[in-house]
Amino acid sequence: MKKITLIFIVFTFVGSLNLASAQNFKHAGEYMEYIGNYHNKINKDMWNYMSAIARGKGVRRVESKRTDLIKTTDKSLKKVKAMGAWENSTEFRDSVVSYLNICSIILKGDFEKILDMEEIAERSYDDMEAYLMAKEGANNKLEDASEMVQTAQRKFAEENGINLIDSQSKIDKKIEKSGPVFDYYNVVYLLFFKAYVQELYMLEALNIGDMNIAEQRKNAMILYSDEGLLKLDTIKAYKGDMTLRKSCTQYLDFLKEEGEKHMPVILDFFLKKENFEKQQKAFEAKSERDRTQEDVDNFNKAVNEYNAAIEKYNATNELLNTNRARALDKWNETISSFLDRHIPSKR
Amino acid sequence: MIKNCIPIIIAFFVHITFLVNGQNNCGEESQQIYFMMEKHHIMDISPDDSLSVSVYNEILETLDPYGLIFLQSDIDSLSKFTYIIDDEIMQKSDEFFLSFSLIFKVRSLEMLEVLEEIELADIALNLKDTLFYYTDSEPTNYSHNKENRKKRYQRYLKLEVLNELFDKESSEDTIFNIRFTDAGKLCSSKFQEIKNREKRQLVYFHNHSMGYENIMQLIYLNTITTYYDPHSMYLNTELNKWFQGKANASSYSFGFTLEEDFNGKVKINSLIPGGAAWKTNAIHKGNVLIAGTWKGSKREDFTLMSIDEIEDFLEQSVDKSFTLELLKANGELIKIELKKEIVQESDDIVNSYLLESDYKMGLITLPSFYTDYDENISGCSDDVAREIMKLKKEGVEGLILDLRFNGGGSVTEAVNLAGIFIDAGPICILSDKIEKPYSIKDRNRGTIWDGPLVILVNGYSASASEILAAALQDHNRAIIVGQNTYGKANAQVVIPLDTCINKNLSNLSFSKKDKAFIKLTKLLIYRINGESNQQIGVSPDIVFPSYYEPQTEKDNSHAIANIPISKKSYYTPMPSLPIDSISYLYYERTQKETWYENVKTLKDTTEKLLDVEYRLFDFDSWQRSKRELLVLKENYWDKLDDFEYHYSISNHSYNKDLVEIDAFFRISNEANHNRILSDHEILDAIFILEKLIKLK
Repeated sequence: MKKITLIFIVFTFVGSLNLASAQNFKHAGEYMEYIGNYHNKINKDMWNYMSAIARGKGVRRVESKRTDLIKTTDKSLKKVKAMGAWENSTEFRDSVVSYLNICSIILKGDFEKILDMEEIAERSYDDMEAYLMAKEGANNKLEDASEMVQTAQRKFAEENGINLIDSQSKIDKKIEKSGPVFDYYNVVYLLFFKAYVQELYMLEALNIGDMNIAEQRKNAMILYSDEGLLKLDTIKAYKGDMTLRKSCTQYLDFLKEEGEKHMPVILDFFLKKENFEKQQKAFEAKSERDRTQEDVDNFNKAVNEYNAAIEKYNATNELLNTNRARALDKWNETISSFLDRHIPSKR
Repeated sequence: MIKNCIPIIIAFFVHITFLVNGQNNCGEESQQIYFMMEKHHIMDISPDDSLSVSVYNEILETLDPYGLIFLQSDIDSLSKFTYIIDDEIMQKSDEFFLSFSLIFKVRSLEMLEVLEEIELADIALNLKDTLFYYTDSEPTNYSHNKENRKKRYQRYLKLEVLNELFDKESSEDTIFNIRFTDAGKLCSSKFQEIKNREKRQLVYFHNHSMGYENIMQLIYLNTITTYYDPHSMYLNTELNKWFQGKANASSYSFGFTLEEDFNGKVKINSLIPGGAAWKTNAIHKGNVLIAGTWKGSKREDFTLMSIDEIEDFLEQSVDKSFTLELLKANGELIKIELKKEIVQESDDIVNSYLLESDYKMGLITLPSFYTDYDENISGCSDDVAREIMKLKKEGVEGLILDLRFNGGGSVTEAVNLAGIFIDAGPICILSDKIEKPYSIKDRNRGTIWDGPLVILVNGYSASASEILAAALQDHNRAIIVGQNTYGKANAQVVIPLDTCINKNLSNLSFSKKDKAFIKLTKLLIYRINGESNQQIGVSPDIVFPSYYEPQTEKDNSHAIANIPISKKSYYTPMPSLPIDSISYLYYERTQKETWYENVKTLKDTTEKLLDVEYRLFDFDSWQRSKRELLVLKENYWDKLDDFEYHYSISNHSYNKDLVEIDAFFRISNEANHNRILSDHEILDAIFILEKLIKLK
């Protein structure tokens, strides 16, 4: 299984001005441009990072792109922080600093610096849930910071008589175009993931023969599949592209059927197995002399029933394995082609 | 920061310990206890005069509860210690210990001689006399001279003989219908019996297998630990080995371990999950052994026997059937048929039954929260989960979980068990000395049973039972029925008496001390709404009437107070259950059925009869008043078994096969069915569950 985590942040702050750079700013435009330059650098690395994810590049490559992005962000943060005030006002600079700071924290995953992780731990029931909750919280913080930057930028321009022209670079445009694709993808992916992870836990529990957890996770899997299917009904196609929605629906249908129809057979087999072993023990505890014909008949009946249960279990298991692999392959293929279609090409 | 559930096992094994080598210095041990308590005990209690007074009084009360052994002059000489025992502890001094144990040794042997001298005629059973009842708060008074003490002892014997003489099952018994003059033979044999028992009692400490000094030291050190709280205890590893050895001594066993309290009463100490005693659903920890009969042999009175003698008696046979007579915590005397079994670890430990009326319902009984300390058995939550899955296959529409007399066990198991019924969420909050209070959560999404659920509890449901009941109540997940629970909201750990062990126990495994151990209270447990059950217990949503008042945590001296905490716990309770309407329907039922009236009358009348300041105290008067009580019992108590039920009981299909193949399972299964059918509280729980299913 690939691509487990893919909720990430698209950096947006509007407008960059194509002016020369210097630390001693002659006019307000130059001051603004200095910041804009760093924004361009970040955006370039950002795009590289996004492309690497969208094109399904290997984990190491994606990771190296992320490291580049973090380095650039931290360097920019340092530089912008070192800028002086413009006509005694540091409002614009500070808002950019705080924005870049949050970007850096999120990229590094240091959520405890901006969120009450203790509260998140209290509210969540496993690490994955805590991580998703933290991401969501961080995203909200980032959105707030982004809005502040935009407001401060407009105010700065206005006060200093700068006419902001929305002159987006090629990369800006690509990033802006990719944002909604990832937003759409994230929504659908989460529906898949919530049910999928329950299946994962369920299979783990079955492997170690923990019926208690397996049954609980099975029921949770059915619940989240139902919930996901209901939500998928309300999600529209992405620019006419139904594939992602359809493939997710198919996968959740598989999980639902697995939970409702096939898992009871698997779990029941474990109970029957335990029960048969008990019967066997009781039967063998009686010496051959003491066994009545009725005892022998009863035990033979139990053996036959147990054999039938084994056969049924094996068949069900095989069917599930085949169907599961097929549904997962289909889902992964759909993700690749969906992102390929909607994320602009690298160059 | 996600905290893992710390597996906390509230040790329920050990009660009396054996100091085998006896070389420990009592003063030093007491100081070690103080250091350990200061570092690890949840409450900040420092030894002061009040500890001193408490230890002083409790020692006297334990050794001589009725003031029959010590003389006033002994007390005068000991009284100088009243306020300085705390200082002794700090200075490793054992002067008090040496003084009282020496005096008691002399005085108890003196009394043995006195006892030998007393004859039946001396206790003058027919002589009019009056017995006054004092409240507990009044201190015991002591005799001023030996003559006086002898008289006092004679009166005590007189009371014991009268009590035992008229301790009969029926008011029709001959003893109630004969004159004193005709009862000579009965009186004299009863007198001899009591005399023998008292003799055994007087030499009990002298002949103790641990040795006199060691048992005295044990009693003394435990009066110190119980000052901190009633569940803390000084003990020794030898005992654990001893118990383990006894439990595994023979492959066939009744499946219980015994303990002897400081007064020589032999009680059930623990049940082996899945063993013969466990499967009866009727035997519980703390039940006092009264008598036993091997099939075809004479009944043996266990109250006259030591724990070792009883153990030997129980070893007599492997395959004969045995009748055990027990005194339950609620004062009820029960007789149970038992047969030794090989404890098969993979066996079904949890019992479940299918109940059918208009609805199909499941009943699961759980006598304790055992855990998978041994890899071969699963914890009780897994076993309950399996039973529910089996019951679900039968199409049950509701479930009753019976936690009556369940005194607790593993906190982790209680949390996991709650997880079976709720999707995910906090179950309880733990507070210790080391860090901020933290929630213990069910982290497994999903449930195994999400249908109507009734939890049955009583005054003996404690600790882990209370965690489970409270969590399900706070989540609006189940209707809790029965009586108010015990009220123990704290957990203990057993660690070596080693002051080098860190506060967080991180270096516990490195401790090399293995001679003495301490069980101490390290955690306080809270409900997810931040409230504590300590001393209060869980109040059922619907209360079932009961004719007895059990002793609970609040009745323990030195019980830890109910201390509030402020802690945020995030959870979304389920929609409220229709408790008010079901409560009203239940009230209507109690108004209509005479059974409830009988319980009430029995309770009121018993209370009235027992609530007296004095009692006439001679053969005729005792005969009269005992008879009165028995008639009352016959009129009401016996009627409590007389009611009609509207449901049938059977096994789920997995067990039906087993009934055909396993003959012994068939027998014990049938006995369990009958016990359930004659249990009125089960009937009441079914009534509640039926309404809950209907209103769903």
